[in-house]
Amino acid sequence: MLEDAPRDDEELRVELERRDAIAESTRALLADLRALEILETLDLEPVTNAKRWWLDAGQE
Amino acid sequence: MPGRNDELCALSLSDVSQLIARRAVSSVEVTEAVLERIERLDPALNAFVTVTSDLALSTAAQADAEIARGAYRGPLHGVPYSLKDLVLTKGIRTTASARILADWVPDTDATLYTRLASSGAVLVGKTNMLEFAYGEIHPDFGPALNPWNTDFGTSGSSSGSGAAVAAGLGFGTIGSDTGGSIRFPAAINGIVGHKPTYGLVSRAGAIALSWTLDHLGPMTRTARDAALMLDVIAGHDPADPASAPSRPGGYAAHVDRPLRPLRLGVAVPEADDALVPEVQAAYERSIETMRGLGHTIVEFSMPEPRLVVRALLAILYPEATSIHLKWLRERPDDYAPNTRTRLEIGASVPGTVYLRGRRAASVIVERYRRVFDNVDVLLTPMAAYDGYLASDPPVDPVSKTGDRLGPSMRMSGPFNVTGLPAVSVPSGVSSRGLPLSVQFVGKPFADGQVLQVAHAYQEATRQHVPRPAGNPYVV
Repeated sequence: MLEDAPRDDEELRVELERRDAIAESTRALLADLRALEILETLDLEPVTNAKRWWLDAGQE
Repeated sequence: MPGRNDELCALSLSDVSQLIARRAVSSVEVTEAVLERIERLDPALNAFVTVTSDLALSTAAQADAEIARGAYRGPLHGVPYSLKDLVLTKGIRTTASARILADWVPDTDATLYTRLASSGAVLVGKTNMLEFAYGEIHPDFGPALNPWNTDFGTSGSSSGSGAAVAAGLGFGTIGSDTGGSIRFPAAINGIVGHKPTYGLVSRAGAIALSWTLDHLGPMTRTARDAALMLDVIAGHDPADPASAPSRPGGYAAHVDRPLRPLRLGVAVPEADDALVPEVQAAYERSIETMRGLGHTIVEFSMPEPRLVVRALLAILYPEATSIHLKWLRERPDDYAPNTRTRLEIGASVPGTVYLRGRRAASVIVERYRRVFDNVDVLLTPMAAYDGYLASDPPVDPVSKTGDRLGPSMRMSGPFNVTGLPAVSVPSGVSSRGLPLSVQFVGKPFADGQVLQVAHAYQEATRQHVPRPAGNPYVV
């Protein structure tokens, strides 16, 4: 797992702290991104409208 | 008193182009002036990673010879410019301001560079940037510093590009914009930055950060200059899968047409936008300027501001990591710490979250379509502040609330997610002597109209003209 393992205890401590911080930040980010779940997956109208707007603009 | 070299370098692209075209000044003379200015000022600004002096002088000599025999190629012929150092240039080092690419010399050209070279424009160098355009300065390259006050940063990620144009080290440059990286450094350095409609300008041969969000576009001192560059770089390119069909160009001609009265949608700022009072006041003056030009003001709320930032991050993180995965495995220690951290976080974003981000982007486009039912062009604040000290620590992506970068993209991010054309324009100077900015946004492919409005605003305010007295850097 730790193929790039640090060489001594201090380096190991710093690296583990770094990985802990990243894990915590990732959890926070993913929790925040759960807000994206409010979108109704089966409602295609916004996607269709957005695409049509873009295509119409491209043809003007 | 500025010398002749400095006077030449302070001209707009449009003006120097006309002088070169009628041979009132030679391209070699202008290029030598720019190179001399780079040599004199860039040690303090660090805007350039590579200066291509020999290439520039030979290209300029060729331009002069062609123009002398009547083979004029167009408004960029003989005009010195630069490229952000993520645009591939055959035979010229392309680093993305990253240790990983410090010695890389590509054997191909980006489509955009090919087009600029064909126009006869004179490449004077490759500009410094945030590492791989992803949020942090790599210590091997150091920060570009703000010509308005070298104690201050340039924003990014097209940081050297912003500093170079503000300092007269070339008449235009090309930046890239994934979450605001053309418009923020344009705003903070007091120049114009245009993020074109998604698909209008080919990204083929530029080092990608996020295929869904990346845009390449011009950074200049005026909107008209941006239109002149856009005329050259826009157009279909089969090498970029997102490239739109070719469209009629004529962006500069569009800018020169009289502007008919418009319905101008003006964003009502929210507390979360965190505008400093001087930005708020300058924004309100901008609204009154546009009203005074005869446009109808229609207030609107920027749709789904929090959803926009979440969608952007849900797309950006995994796309960036997928691009960097090989280097992340093989050379993790060669990244700047925050770049590496962001890439590692991106490896943990599930596919479901990414796809919800992509889907949210469509919903956000639909929300903006509804806004544009009632207006022609939008006006928003751009940077929420006037600047930051270069010595301030970088934005740490490790946070108990997610990435702190997100909130800063509330004004810029919507137009990466939607792909709508957006241009940042100077709107004044703060009490600290630093530039303020606003942003105009248009419908898909209405780049000509957006630049036309920005041009009219610049002509009315002349905010790009008054320069700080006694400042040796800003032109």
